[in-house]
Amino acid sequence: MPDIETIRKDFPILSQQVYDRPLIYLDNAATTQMPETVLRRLEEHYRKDNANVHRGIHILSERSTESYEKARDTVHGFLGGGAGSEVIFTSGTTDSINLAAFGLAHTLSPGDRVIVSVLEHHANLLPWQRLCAVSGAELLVLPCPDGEPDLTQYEQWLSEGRVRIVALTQVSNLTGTVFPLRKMSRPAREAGALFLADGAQGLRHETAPVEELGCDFYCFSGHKVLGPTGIGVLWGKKEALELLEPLRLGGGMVDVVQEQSYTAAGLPARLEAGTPNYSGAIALAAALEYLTSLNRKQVSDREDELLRYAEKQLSGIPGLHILGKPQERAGALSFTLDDVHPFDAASVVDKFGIALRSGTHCAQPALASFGVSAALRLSPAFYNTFEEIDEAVKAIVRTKEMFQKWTKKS
Amino acid sequence: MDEKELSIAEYEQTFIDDLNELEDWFLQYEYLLQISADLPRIPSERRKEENRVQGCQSGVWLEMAYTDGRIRVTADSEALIIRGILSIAVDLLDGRTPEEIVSYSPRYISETNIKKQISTDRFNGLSSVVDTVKQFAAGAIRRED
Repeated sequence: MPDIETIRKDFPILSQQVYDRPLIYLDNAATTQMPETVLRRLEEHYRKDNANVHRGIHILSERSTESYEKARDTVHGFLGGGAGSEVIFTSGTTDSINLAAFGLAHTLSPGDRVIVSVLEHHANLLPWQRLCAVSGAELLVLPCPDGEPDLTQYEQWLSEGRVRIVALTQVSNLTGTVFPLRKMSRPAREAGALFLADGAQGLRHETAPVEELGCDFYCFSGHKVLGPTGIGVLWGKKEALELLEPLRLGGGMVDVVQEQSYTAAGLPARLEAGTPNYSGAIALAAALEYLTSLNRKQVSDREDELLRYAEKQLSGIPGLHILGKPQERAGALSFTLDDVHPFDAASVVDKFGIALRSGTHCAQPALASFGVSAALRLSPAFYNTFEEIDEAVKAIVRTKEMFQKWTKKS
Repeated sequence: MDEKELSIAEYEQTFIDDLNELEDWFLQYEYLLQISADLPRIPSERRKEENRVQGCQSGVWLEMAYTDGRIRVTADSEALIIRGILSIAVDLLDGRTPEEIVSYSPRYISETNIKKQISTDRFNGLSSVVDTVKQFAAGAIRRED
């Protein structure tokens, strides 16, 4: 991996000033920034090749289609998919999970069971909630005391039978808990369940091929791996993807259409109705190529180091409570401050030029499991520096002092 | 001069001037925190779903009454910056007649940095606090008629 100054030059957005201070962007669990090469690829596509894919015979359509399908291969290669698997482009992780969940509705019967964990992002909770409500299946929510999944309870549920689907996050967007996917997928699949991993937070951390993790489905979003927003992926083993009833019907996903019926096209087209976000897919491929060129393992290691450093520095602040003590943490950590509402803290920290996330993090049950309703989150990416973490810690301390003065009075 | 001798709009101008004289955000926050300290708390048992202002992520509660020809207003929030902003609304509107309130158009948000503070969709509800009080005041006038 090149040195940090060189890397930061690749990200034009990072060099700006906000409120007359250098921007310190530590909200990468929400969205990562795009390097120059991705921005250029996006622009280039629109300037030179833009045309709808799989629809025309003219030269632009051919170029566009070729780039789109090449992007699919790039994603497949990045994930380490293997021959028996396929990449479906979606609008993001939420879309991917909805596609999988509702596509599986026809496979569930009353009395069947679906397992998720309490640390899921709402995107990996609500579709399963609804699926269970409409199918009569039971939703089992795995407790994660102190941010660590309860594996005894998990194996207990699996051994009781009728678990059809297990849907777990790879890395929690709240606590940064790294779920032991290999350990959890094996018994799930032995018990006959399909295993879906929400990789939105995990893909920058885990470099092993997705097949090694034992997933039937794996989902992620472009905007969390240096790509643009509005593009995501549902990767799946072909036999698992074949199970999915298409959630959306329309152009591009059919073979023969008659007035009263249609026959569906094969994978991947069958699950990509309508004009896909091909420019997003093409830019996403450029983002993954960029990550590969940096050396994925080094990217992941650097992010781990930054997070460990942040955890150490924040732990030293009296009255600051980090949520959870997972065995392995990656990507993000969340915390509360005594006497300071997270909204107040984030407002003031923002004026120091530091972008943290505050609020519920789309994970209300996860927050509730820690007895809080909002928290602040710090999530570094490899392009952040240790000095930036120091600045963030300083700003948090100053913010805390500013509020303490007033909370004692009221 | 007693502040109540000022019209709502005149009194509001003092807040706008105070805030806009403070150059940076930190001083403006200090100002809001300072005035928030004078705003009485609504005890937790009276913070109910019925009087919760919708659309505020940090939780805002509003209590209103109409007695002796005056509208009584108090408000509270879990977040102190929000309490500071609410405190301006309460100072301006509490103890006024319903007629004064219905003819008032708020400026303290749009003419200060508060508009930036609450511009995100998480705080939609905060700008509706004044509207809610105005509706209550209009109801009070209708009942009198």
